[in-house]
Amino acid sequence: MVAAVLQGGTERFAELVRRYSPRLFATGRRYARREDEVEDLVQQIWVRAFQNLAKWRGDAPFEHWLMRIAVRVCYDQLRRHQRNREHTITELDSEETGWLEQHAVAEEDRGNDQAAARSLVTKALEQLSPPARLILTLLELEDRSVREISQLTGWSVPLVKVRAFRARAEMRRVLARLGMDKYL
Amino acid sequence: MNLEMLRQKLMRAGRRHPPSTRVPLAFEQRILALVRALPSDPLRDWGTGLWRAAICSIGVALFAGVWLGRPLVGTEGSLADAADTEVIEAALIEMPEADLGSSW
Repeated sequence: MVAAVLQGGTERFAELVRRYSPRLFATGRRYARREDEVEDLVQQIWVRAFQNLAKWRGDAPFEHWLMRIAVRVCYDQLRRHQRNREHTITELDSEETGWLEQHAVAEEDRGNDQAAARSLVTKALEQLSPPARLILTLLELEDRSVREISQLTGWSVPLVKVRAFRARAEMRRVLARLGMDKYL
Repeated sequence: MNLEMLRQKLMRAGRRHPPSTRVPLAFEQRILALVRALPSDPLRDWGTGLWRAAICSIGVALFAGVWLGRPLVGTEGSLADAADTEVIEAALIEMPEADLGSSW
C-alpha cells in the first residue's frame, strides 16, 4: 500500500489514514485537551508521515514508524505550548477534592469516581515540563518499556531512565504545589 | 501514605481509562485534501531524481565493465599465443636446413 502511494496513488493514502487514525487520536488526546488541538496534532502527524513516506524501509512495521513520528510531533507541540503559555496555578474543583478526601489515604484502589481521578491526573501532567510529561505518559499511562520509549523518542536507554526518575520527582512536587499533600 | 503512593494511585487511575479512539467523520478526506494541496519541494524532487540517476549510472557502469572485461581477457590470451608463434617461427627461420632434414 505504501509503495502504491509512493508511485503516485494518493488515493491509497486514505486507506492508511482510515486504518491508523484511531490509534493516533488516542495518542493525541493524551497530550492535548481541546478536540480542535487533537485534530490539529493528528493532521500534523499525517502530513509529516506523507512527506517522509519514502524513508520508511519496511524493515519495521509501518505502525511503529508512524508512532515514532506521532511521539515527536506531540513532543514538539508540548514544547511549543510551554513556551507560549502563562504559568498558572490550577485550582482543584469540588469533585477532585472529594476524590482526594475519599481515596488519597485509602489502602486500595476503588473503581468509582474515576472521572475525578482522571481530571486530577490531567491537571498534574499539564503542570509538568515537556520531557517529564512525555516520559510519564509513555512509561506509566501507556505502560511501555524503557527500550520502546528509547526507540520512540530517539533518546538513549540511560537517558530515558534518568528522565523517568526526574519526572517522578517533578510530579511529586507538582502534587504538593496543587495542595494534594494536605489530604494525606 | 506519602506523595509517591498518591502519585502511583493517580497514574493507575489514568491507566485504567485510556483516551477515546473516536475519529471525526470523513477525517481521511480532509487529510487527502491537505496532502494534495502540499507544495512540492523542488530541492527534494531534484535530490530524488539525482539519487535515481546515480543508481542507474552505477548499474550501467557495472554492466559495461563486465561486458568489456570479458573480451579483454580473451585478447590477452590471444596476444600471448601470437607471441609464442612468432618466437617459434623466428627459431625455425634461424635453424640450418640440415638440421631440419635430420630431425624430420
